[in-house]
Amino acid sequence: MGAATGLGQLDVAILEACEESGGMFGSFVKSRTVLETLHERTGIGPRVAYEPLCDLARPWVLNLTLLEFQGNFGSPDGPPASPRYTECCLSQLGGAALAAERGEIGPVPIGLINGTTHVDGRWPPLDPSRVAAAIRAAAGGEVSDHELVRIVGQPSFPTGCDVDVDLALLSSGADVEIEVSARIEFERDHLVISRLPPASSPELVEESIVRLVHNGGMRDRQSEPSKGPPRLRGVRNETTRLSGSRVVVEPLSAADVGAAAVALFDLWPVRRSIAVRFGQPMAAMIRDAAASRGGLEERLVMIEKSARY
Amino acid sequence: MVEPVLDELVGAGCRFVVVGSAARRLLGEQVPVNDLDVVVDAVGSNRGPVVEALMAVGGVIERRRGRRLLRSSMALPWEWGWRTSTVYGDVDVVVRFIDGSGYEFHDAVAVPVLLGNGVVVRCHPTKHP
Repeated sequence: MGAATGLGQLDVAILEACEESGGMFGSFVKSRTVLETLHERTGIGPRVAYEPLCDLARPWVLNLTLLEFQGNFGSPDGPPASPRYTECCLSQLGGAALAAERGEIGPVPIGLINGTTHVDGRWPPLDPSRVAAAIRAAAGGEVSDHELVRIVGQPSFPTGCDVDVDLALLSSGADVEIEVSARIEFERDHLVISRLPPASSPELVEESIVRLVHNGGMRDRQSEPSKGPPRLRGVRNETTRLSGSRVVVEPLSAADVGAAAVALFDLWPVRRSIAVRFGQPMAAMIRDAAASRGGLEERLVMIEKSARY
Repeated sequence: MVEPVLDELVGAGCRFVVVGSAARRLLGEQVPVNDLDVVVDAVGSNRGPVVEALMAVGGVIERRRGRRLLRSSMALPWEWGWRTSTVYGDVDVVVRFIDGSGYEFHDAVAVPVLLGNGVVVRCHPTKHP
Protein backbone atom coordinates (compact mmCIF):
# COMPACT_ATOMS: atom_id res chain seq x y z
CA MET A 1 0.00 0.00 0.00
CA GLY A 2 1.09 3.56 -0.62
CA ALA A 3 2.19 4.75 2.80
CA ALA A 4 1.12 8.35 2.24
CA THR A 5 -2.34 7.59 0.89
CA GLY A 6 -3.25 4.04 1.94
CA LEU A 7 -3.99 3.24 -1.71
CA GLY A 8 -3.22 -0.16 -3.22
CA GLN A 9 -0.17 -0.57 -5.45
CA LEU A 10 -2.28 -1.10 -8.58
CA ASP A 11 -4.25 2.08 -7.90
CA VAL A 12 -1.05 4.10 -7.51
CA ALA A 13 0.42 2.51 -10.66
CA ILE A 14 -2.70 3.44 -12.66
CA LEU A 15 -2.54 7.04 -11.44
CA GLU A 16 1.15 7.22 -12.34
CA ALA A 17 0.48 5.78 -15.79
CA CYS A 18 -2.30 8.31 -16.32
CA GLU A 19 0.00 11.17 -15.36
CA GLU A 20 2.83 9.84 -17.56
CA SER A 21 0.40 9.58 -20.48
CA GLY A 22 -0.42 13.26 -20.15
CA GLY A 23 -3.68 12.82 -18.27
CA MET A 24 -3.18 15.62 -15.79
CA PHE A 25 -6.21 17.22 -14.12
CA GLY A 26 -8.47 18.64 -16.87
CA SER A 27 -6.46 17.10 -19.72
CA PHE A 28 -8.15 13.92 -20.92
CA VAL A 29 -6.24 11.13 -22.65
CA LYS A 30 -7.51 7.91 -24.20
CA SER A 31 -7.92 5.14 -21.63
CA ARG A 32 -6.20 2.81 -24.08
CA THR A 33 -3.08 5.01 -23.95
CA VAL A 34 -3.05 4.90 -20.13
CA LEU A 35 -3.42 1.12 -20.18
CA GLU A 36 -0.57 0.78 -22.67
CA THR A 37 1.67 2.96 -20.48
CA LEU A 38 0.73 0.91 -17.42
CA HIS A 39 1.54 -2.29 -19.32
CA GLU A 40 4.97 -0.96 -20.32
CA ARG A 41 5.76 0.20 -16.76
CA THR A 42 4.44 -2.74 -14.77
CA GLY A 43 3.61 -5.63 -17.08
CA ILE A 44 -0.01 -5.46 -15.92
CA GLY A 45 -2.12 -5.92 -19.02
CA PRO A 46 -5.13 -3.89 -20.17
CA ARG A 47 -7.54 -6.79 -19.63
CA VAL A 48 -6.65 -6.88 -15.93
CA ALA A 49 -6.27 -3.16 -15.37
CA TYR A 50 -9.25 -1.63 -17.21
CA GLU A 51 -11.91 -2.39 -14.60
CA PRO A 52 -9.70 -1.14 -11.71
CA LEU A 53 -9.00 1.98 -13.78
CA CYS A 54 -12.73 2.57 -14.28
CA ASP A 55 -13.35 1.90 -10.59
CA LEU A 56 -11.13 4.86 -9.73
CA ALA A 57 -13.69 7.09 -11.49
CA ARG A 58 -16.91 5.41 -10.32
CA PRO A 59 -18.73 7.33 -7.60
CA TRP A 60 -20.87 4.31 -6.73
CA VAL A 61 -17.70 2.32 -5.98
CA LEU A 62 -15.53 4.86 -4.15
CA ASN A 63 -16.35 7.69 -1.77
CA LEU A 64 -13.35 9.54 -3.16
CA THR A 65 -12.80 9.15 -6.89
CA LEU A 66 -9.29 9.71 -8.23
CA LEU A 67 -9.92 9.88 -11.98
CA GLU A 68 -12.27 11.92 -14.14
CA PHE A 69 -13.83 10.05 -17.03
CA GLN A 70 -15.40 10.73 -20.41
CA GLY A 71 -17.41 8.03 -22.12
CA ASN A 72 -19.31 5.03 -20.83
CA PHE A 73 -17.38 3.82 -17.80
CA GLY A 74 -19.99 1.22 -16.90
CA SER A 75 -22.71 1.05 -14.30
CA PRO A 76 -23.52 -1.32 -11.43
CA ASP A 77 -25.08 -3.55 -14.11
CA GLY A 78 -23.27 -2.80 -17.34
CA PRO A 79 -19.62 -3.06 -18.38
CA PRO A 80 -17.70 0.00 -19.65
CA ALA A 81 -17.23 0.80 -23.32
CA SER A 82 -14.01 -0.34 -24.94
CA PRO A 83 -10.97 1.73 -23.79
CA ARG A 84 -10.75 2.93 -27.40
CA TYR A 85 -13.93 4.91 -26.76
CA THR A 86 -13.21 6.35 -23.32
CA GLU A 87 -10.91 9.01 -21.92
CA CYS A 88 -9.66 9.74 -18.43
CA CYS A 89 -7.50 12.15 -16.48
CA LEU A 90 -6.44 12.61 -12.88
CA SER A 91 -8.99 14.26 -10.63
CA GLN A 92 -7.68 16.98 -8.34
CA LEU A 93 -7.53 14.45 -5.53
CA GLY A 94 -5.83 11.92 -7.82
CA GLY A 95 -3.10 14.47 -8.50
CA ALA A 96 -2.81 15.16 -4.76
CA ALA A 97 -2.51 11.42 -4.10
CA LEU A 98 0.51 11.20 -6.41
CA ALA A 99 2.03 14.32 -4.83
CA ALA A 100 1.58 12.73 -1.40
CA GLU A 101 3.13 9.45 -2.56
CA ARG A 102 6.16 11.41 -3.80
CA GLY A 103 6.41 13.28 -0.50
CA GLU A 104 5.67 16.65 -2.08
CA ILE A 105 2.76 17.20 0.31
CA GLY A 106 1.70 15.53 3.56
CA PRO A 107 -0.30 12.29 3.71
CA VAL A 108 -3.81 12.23 2.23
CA PRO A 109 -5.81 9.43 3.92
CA ILE A 110 -7.71 8.26 0.82
CA GLY A 111 -7.37 4.55 1.58
CA LEU A 112 -8.72 5.11 5.09
CA ILE A 113 -11.87 6.64 3.60
CA ASN A 114 -12.38 4.46 0.51
CA GLY A 115 -11.68 1.20 2.32
CA THR A 116 -11.13 -2.09 0.51
CA THR A 117 -14.54 -3.78 0.54
CA HIS A 118 -15.01 -2.80 -3.13
CA VAL A 119 -12.17 -5.20 -4.01
CA ASP A 120 -13.41 -7.88 -1.58
CA GLY A 121 -11.12 -6.60 1.16
CA ARG A 122 -12.38 -6.11 4.71
CA TRP A 123 -11.75 -2.42 5.39
CA PRO A 124 -15.12 -0.66 5.25
CA PRO A 125 -15.44 2.80 3.67
CA LEU A 126 -16.00 5.84 5.86
CA ASP A 127 -17.73 9.17 5.39
CA PRO A 128 -15.13 11.62 3.96
CA SER A 129 -16.53 14.71 5.70
CA ARG A 130 -16.73 12.98 9.06
CA VAL A 131 -13.20 11.59 8.76
CA ALA A 132 -11.95 15.07 7.86
CA ALA A 133 -13.76 16.50 10.89
CA ALA A 134 -12.25 13.84 13.16
CA ILE A 135 -8.73 14.48 11.84
CA ARG A 136 -9.28 18.20 12.42
CA ALA A 137 -10.42 17.49 15.98
CA ALA A 138 -7.43 15.22 16.63
CA ALA A 139 -5.05 17.87 15.29
CA GLY A 140 -6.75 20.57 17.32
CA GLY A 141 -5.84 19.29 20.76
CA GLU A 142 -7.29 17.19 23.56
CA VAL A 143 -10.01 14.89 22.32
CA SER A 144 -10.85 11.45 23.66
CA ASP A 145 -10.76 8.27 21.58
CA HIS A 146 -14.47 7.88 22.25
CA GLU A 147 -15.17 11.33 20.83
CA LEU A 148 -13.09 10.63 17.70
CA VAL A 149 -15.05 7.43 17.08
CA ARG A 150 -18.31 9.33 17.57
CA ILE A 151 -17.25 11.95 15.00
CA VAL A 152 -16.19 9.37 12.39
CA GLY A 153 -19.40 7.40 12.90
CA GLN A 154 -20.35 4.14 11.24
CA PRO A 155 -19.12 2.93 7.85
CA SER A 156 -20.53 4.87 4.94
CA PHE A 157 -20.84 3.17 1.56
CA PRO A 158 -20.85 5.31 -1.59
CA THR A 159 -24.26 3.97 -2.63
CA GLY A 160 -25.76 5.48 0.52
CA CYS A 161 -27.12 2.15 1.79
CA ASP A 162 -28.15 1.77 5.41
CA VAL A 163 -25.58 0.22 7.75
CA ASP A 164 -26.21 -1.56 11.02
CA VAL A 165 -23.04 -2.08 13.06
CA ASP A 166 -21.72 -2.38 16.60
CA LEU A 167 -19.59 0.76 16.30
CA ALA A 168 -17.74 0.25 19.60
CA LEU A 169 -16.59 -3.20 18.50
CA LEU A 170 -15.70 -2.11 14.97
CA SER A 171 -13.71 0.89 16.18
CA SER A 172 -11.65 -1.35 18.46
CA GLY A 173 -10.21 -3.00 15.33
CA ALA A 174 -11.95 -6.35 15.91
CA ASP A 175 -13.60 -8.58 13.28
CA VAL A 176 -17.20 -7.48 12.96
CA GLU A 177 -20.15 -8.49 10.81
CA ILE A 178 -22.17 -5.54 9.61
CA GLU A 179 -25.56 -5.52 7.95
CA VAL A 180 -25.97 -3.41 4.82
CA SER A 181 -29.41 -2.82 3.38
CA ALA A 182 -31.20 -0.88 0.68
CA ARG A 183 -33.76 1.79 1.43
CA ILE A 184 -37.37 0.61 0.88
CA GLU A 185 -39.87 3.45 0.84
CA PHE A 186 -43.59 3.75 0.20
CA GLU A 187 -44.50 6.06 -2.67
CA ARG A 188 -48.23 6.35 -3.21
CA ASP A 189 -49.36 2.74 -3.82
CA HIS A 190 -45.99 1.19 -4.60
CA LEU A 191 -42.61 0.44 -3.04
CA VAL A 192 -39.35 2.02 -4.16
CA ILE A 193 -36.04 0.28 -3.53
CA SER A 194 -33.01 2.57 -3.71
CA ARG A 195 -29.59 3.07 -2.15
CA LEU A 196 -28.55 -0.51 -2.76
CA PRO A 197 -25.83 -2.29 -0.79
CA PRO A 198 -22.37 -2.60 -2.36
CA ALA A 199 -22.02 -5.26 -5.09
CA SER A 200 -25.77 -5.25 -5.58
CA SER A 201 -27.42 -3.71 -8.64
CA PRO A 202 -30.87 -2.75 -9.89
CA GLU A 203 -31.01 -5.66 -12.33
CA LEU A 204 -29.98 -8.07 -9.61
CA VAL A 205 -32.77 -6.75 -7.38
CA GLU A 206 -35.29 -6.93 -10.23
CA GLU A 207 -34.32 -10.49 -11.12
CA SER A 208 -34.41 -11.63 -7.50
CA ILE A 209 -37.94 -10.29 -7.12
CA VAL A 210 -39.08 -12.00 -10.32
CA ARG A 211 -37.51 -15.28 -9.18
CA LEU A 212 -39.08 -14.93 -5.76
CA VAL A 213 -42.53 -14.52 -7.25
CA HIS A 214 -42.15 -17.21 -9.92
CA ASN A 215 -40.56 -19.78 -7.62
CA GLY A 216 -43.31 -19.42 -5.06
CA GLY A 217 -41.27 -17.67 -2.44
CA MET A 218 -38.32 -18.65 -0.35
CA ARG A 219 -38.01 -21.96 1.45
CA ASP A 220 -39.21 -20.71 4.84
CA ARG A 221 -42.26 -19.21 3.18
CA GLN A 222 -43.01 -22.49 1.42
CA SER A 223 -43.14 -24.15 4.81
CA GLU A 224 -45.86 -21.66 5.69
CA PRO A 225 -48.17 -21.74 2.68
CA SER A 226 -50.42 -19.12 4.21
CA LYS A 227 -47.67 -16.57 3.64
CA GLY A 228 -46.84 -17.55 0.06
CA PRO A 229 -44.87 -15.34 -2.31
CA PRO A 230 -45.56 -11.61 -2.32
CA ARG A 231 -48.51 -10.68 -4.52
CA LEU A 232 -47.12 -8.20 -7.04
CA ARG A 233 -48.50 -6.57 -10.17
CA GLY A 234 -45.08 -5.73 -11.56
CA VAL A 235 -41.48 -4.64 -11.10
CA ARG A 236 -39.82 -1.77 -12.97
CA ASN A 237 -36.18 -0.80 -13.08
CA GLU A 238 -36.26 3.01 -13.23
CA THR A 239 -32.55 3.49 -12.66
CA THR A 240 -30.88 6.37 -14.44
CA ARG A 241 -27.49 7.94 -14.02
CA LEU A 242 -29.13 11.02 -12.51
CA SER A 243 -31.62 9.39 -10.16
CA GLY A 244 -29.32 6.52 -9.19
CA SER A 245 -30.56 3.01 -8.41
CA ARG A 246 -34.35 2.87 -8.31
CA VAL A 247 -36.46 -0.26 -8.57
CA VAL A 248 -40.22 0.22 -8.33
CA VAL A 249 -42.36 -2.65 -7.04
CA GLU A 250 -46.12 -2.54 -7.51
CA PRO A 251 -48.06 -4.72 -5.06
CA LEU A 252 -51.30 -6.22 -6.35
CA SER A 253 -53.37 -4.21 -3.89
CA ALA A 254 -52.90 -1.86 -0.97
CA ALA A 255 -53.37 -4.81 1.37
CA ASP A 256 -50.27 -6.49 -0.10
CA VAL A 257 -47.85 -3.60 0.46
CA GLY A 258 -46.72 -4.58 3.97
CA ALA A 259 -46.16 -8.25 3.18
CA ALA A 260 -44.30 -7.31 -0.02
CA ALA A 261 -41.97 -4.98 1.86
CA VAL A 262 -41.14 -7.69 4.40
CA ALA A 263 -40.48 -10.25 1.65
CA LEU A 264 -38.26 -7.85 -0.32
CA PHE A 265 -36.19 -7.09 2.74
CA ASP A 266 -35.16 -10.76 2.89
CA LEU A 267 -33.58 -10.74 -0.57
CA TRP A 268 -29.79 -10.90 -0.79
CA PRO A 269 -29.39 -7.93 -3.18
CA VAL A 270 -31.50 -5.84 -0.80
CA ARG A 271 -29.99 -6.78 2.55
CA ARG A 272 -27.02 -8.87 3.60
CA SER A 273 -24.14 -9.13 6.04
CA ILE A 274 -20.49 -8.51 5.27
CA ALA A 275 -17.44 -9.16 7.43
CA VAL A 276 -15.22 -6.16 8.07
CA ARG A 277 -12.28 -5.16 10.25
CA PHE A 278 -9.88 -2.27 10.62
CA GLY A 279 -7.24 -4.38 12.34
CA GLN A 280 -6.31 -1.49 14.60
CA PRO A 281 -8.23 1.01 16.75
CA MET A 282 -10.02 3.63 14.68
CA ALA A 283 -8.93 6.48 16.97
CA ALA A 284 -5.27 5.56 16.48
CA MET A 285 -5.68 5.71 12.70
CA ILE A 286 -7.26 9.14 12.95
CA ARG A 287 -4.45 10.40 15.19
CA ASP A 288 -1.89 9.02 12.72
CA ALA A 289 -3.60 10.87 9.88
CA ALA A 290 -3.51 14.07 11.93
CA ALA A 291 0.18 13.76 12.83
CA SER A 292 1.53 15.59 9.79
CA ARG A 293 0.32 19.16 10.39
CA GLY A 294 1.92 21.04 7.46
CA GLY A 295 -0.80 21.89 4.95
CA LEU A 296 -3.24 19.65 6.80
CA GLU A 297 -6.21 21.99 6.42
CA GLU A 298 -5.72 22.26 2.63
CA ARG A 299 -5.58 18.48 2.34
CA LEU A 300 -8.74 18.05 4.40
CA VAL A 301 -10.61 20.68 2.38
CA MET A 302 -9.63 18.85 -0.81
CA ILE A 303 -11.04 15.60 0.60
CA GLU A 304 -14.30 17.31 1.56
CA LYS A 305 -14.65 18.88 -1.90
CA SER A 306 -13.98 15.53 -3.57
CA ALA A 307 -16.79 13.76 -1.70
CA ARG A 308 -19.69 14.27 -4.06
CA TYR A 309 -21.86 11.21 -4.78
CA MET B 1 -25.36 -8.19 -43.07
CA VAL B 2 -26.30 -4.72 -41.90
CA GLU B 3 -29.36 -4.31 -44.13
CA PRO B 4 -31.81 -6.34 -41.99
CA VAL B 5 -30.88 -4.29 -38.92
CA LEU B 6 -31.20 -1.02 -40.82
CA ASP B 7 -34.51 -2.24 -42.20
CA GLU B 8 -35.81 -2.78 -38.64
CA LEU B 9 -34.53 0.59 -37.45
CA VAL B 10 -36.18 2.40 -40.35
CA GLY B 11 -39.36 0.34 -40.01
CA ALA B 12 -39.62 1.24 -36.33
CA GLY B 13 -39.35 4.93 -37.20
CA CYS B 14 -35.99 5.48 -35.46
CA ARG B 15 -33.96 8.62 -35.98
CA PHE B 16 -30.39 7.46 -36.57
CA VAL B 17 -27.31 7.94 -38.73
CA VAL B 18 -25.03 5.13 -39.88
CA VAL B 19 -21.37 5.99 -39.22
CA GLY B 20 -17.99 4.27 -39.41
CA SER B 21 -17.05 1.47 -41.75
CA ALA B 22 -20.64 0.43 -42.48
CA ALA B 23 -21.42 3.94 -43.71
CA ARG B 24 -18.29 3.96 -45.85
CA ARG B 25 -19.23 0.60 -47.32
CA LEU B 26 -22.78 1.76 -48.07
CA LEU B 27 -21.26 4.75 -49.85
CA GLY B 28 -19.22 2.47 -52.08
CA GLU B 29 -15.84 2.28 -50.35
CA GLN B 30 -14.37 -1.25 -50.26
CA VAL B 31 -13.69 -1.63 -46.53
CA PRO B 32 -14.30 -4.59 -44.22
CA VAL B 33 -17.34 -4.12 -41.99
CA ASN B 34 -16.96 -5.80 -38.61
CA ASP B 35 -19.94 -4.21 -36.95
CA LEU B 36 -22.65 -1.60 -37.47
CA ASP B 37 -22.21 1.77 -35.76
CA VAL B 38 -25.32 3.92 -35.54
CA VAL B 39 -25.60 7.30 -33.87
CA VAL B 40 -29.12 7.60 -32.47
CA ASP B 41 -31.20 10.50 -31.27
CA ALA B 42 -31.50 9.84 -27.52
CA VAL B 43 -34.66 11.87 -26.92
CA GLY B 44 -37.27 9.90 -25.00
CA SER B 45 -39.57 9.37 -27.99
CA ASN B 46 -36.77 7.68 -30.00
CA ARG B 47 -35.53 5.31 -27.30
CA GLY B 48 -38.45 2.89 -27.41
CA PRO B 49 -38.31 2.42 -31.21
CA VAL B 50 -34.53 1.83 -31.11
CA VAL B 51 -34.85 -0.85 -28.45
CA GLU B 52 -37.87 -2.44 -30.15
CA ALA B 53 -36.03 -2.59 -33.48
CA LEU B 54 -32.98 -4.23 -31.92
CA MET B 55 -35.16 -6.66 -29.97
CA ALA B 56 -36.71 -7.67 -33.30
CA VAL B 57 -33.27 -8.79 -34.56
CA GLY B 58 -32.52 -10.78 -31.39
CA GLY B 59 -30.61 -8.05 -29.57
CA VAL B 60 -28.48 -9.33 -26.71
CA ILE B 61 -26.63 -7.05 -24.33
CA GLU B 62 -23.54 -7.73 -22.27
CA ARG B 63 -24.14 -7.35 -18.55
CA ARG B 64 -21.89 -7.95 -15.58
CA ARG B 65 -23.62 -11.24 -14.90
CA GLY B 66 -23.52 -12.49 -18.47
CA ARG B 67 -25.40 -11.80 -21.65
CA ARG B 68 -29.08 -10.89 -21.52
CA LEU B 69 -31.75 -10.55 -24.15
CA LEU B 70 -32.45 -6.89 -24.72
CA ARG B 71 -35.74 -5.93 -23.07
CA SER B 72 -37.77 -2.77 -23.36
CA SER B 73 -37.68 -2.40 -19.56
CA MET B 74 -33.89 -2.63 -19.36
CA ALA B 75 -32.05 0.35 -17.90
CA LEU B 76 -29.55 1.28 -20.61
CA PRO B 77 -26.65 3.77 -20.59
CA TRP B 78 -28.34 6.37 -22.79
CA GLU B 79 -25.80 9.00 -21.84
CA TRP B 80 -23.15 7.46 -24.11
CA GLY B 81 -24.51 4.34 -25.78
CA TRP B 82 -23.99 0.60 -25.69
CA ARG B 83 -23.17 -2.46 -27.79
CA THR B 84 -25.80 -4.99 -28.79
CA SER B 85 -25.18 -8.36 -30.41
CA THR B 86 -27.89 -9.25 -32.92
CA VAL B 87 -28.39 -12.31 -35.07
CA TYR B 88 -26.91 -10.25 -37.93
CA GLY B 89 -23.81 -9.11 -36.01
CA ASP B 90 -22.81 -6.51 -33.45
CA VAL B 91 -24.43 -3.09 -33.37
CA ASP B 92 -22.81 -0.17 -31.54
CA VAL B 93 -25.59 2.20 -30.54
CA VAL B 94 -23.84 5.53 -30.02
CA VAL B 95 -25.51 8.48 -28.34
CA ARG B 96 -22.44 10.65 -28.00
CA PHE B 97 -18.81 10.21 -29.01
CA ILE B 98 -16.06 11.33 -26.64
CA ASP B 99 -15.46 14.32 -28.92
CA GLY B 100 -18.97 15.42 -27.87
CA SER B 101 -20.62 14.87 -31.25
CA GLY B 102 -24.04 13.24 -31.31
CA TYR B 103 -27.03 12.66 -33.57
CA GLU B 104 -27.61 16.27 -34.56
CA PHE B 105 -24.03 16.81 -35.71
CA HIS B 106 -23.84 13.57 -37.71
CA ASP B 107 -27.32 14.00 -39.17
CA ALA B 108 -26.42 17.48 -40.41
CA VAL B 109 -23.51 16.17 -42.48
CA ALA B 110 -25.02 12.79 -43.44
CA VAL B 111 -26.07 11.85 -46.95
CA PRO B 112 -29.01 9.61 -47.87
CA VAL B 113 -28.27 6.16 -49.29
CA LEU B 114 -30.82 3.95 -51.00
CA LEU B 115 -30.49 0.29 -50.00
CA GLY B 116 -31.36 -2.62 -52.29
CA ASN B 117 -34.64 -3.22 -50.53
CA GLY B 118 -35.79 0.33 -51.19
CA VAL B 119 -35.04 1.60 -47.68
CA VAL B 120 -33.25 4.94 -47.35
CA VAL B 121 -30.75 5.49 -44.54
CA ARG B 122 -28.59 8.47 -43.70
CA CYS B 123 -24.83 7.83 -43.63
CA HIS B 124 -21.80 9.75 -42.37
CA PRO B 125 -18.60 7.89 -43.33
CA THR B 126 -16.48 8.63 -40.24
CA LYS B 127 -13.12 7.04 -39.45
CA HIS B 128 -11.63 6.25 -36.06
CA PRO B 129 -8.76 8.61 -35.21
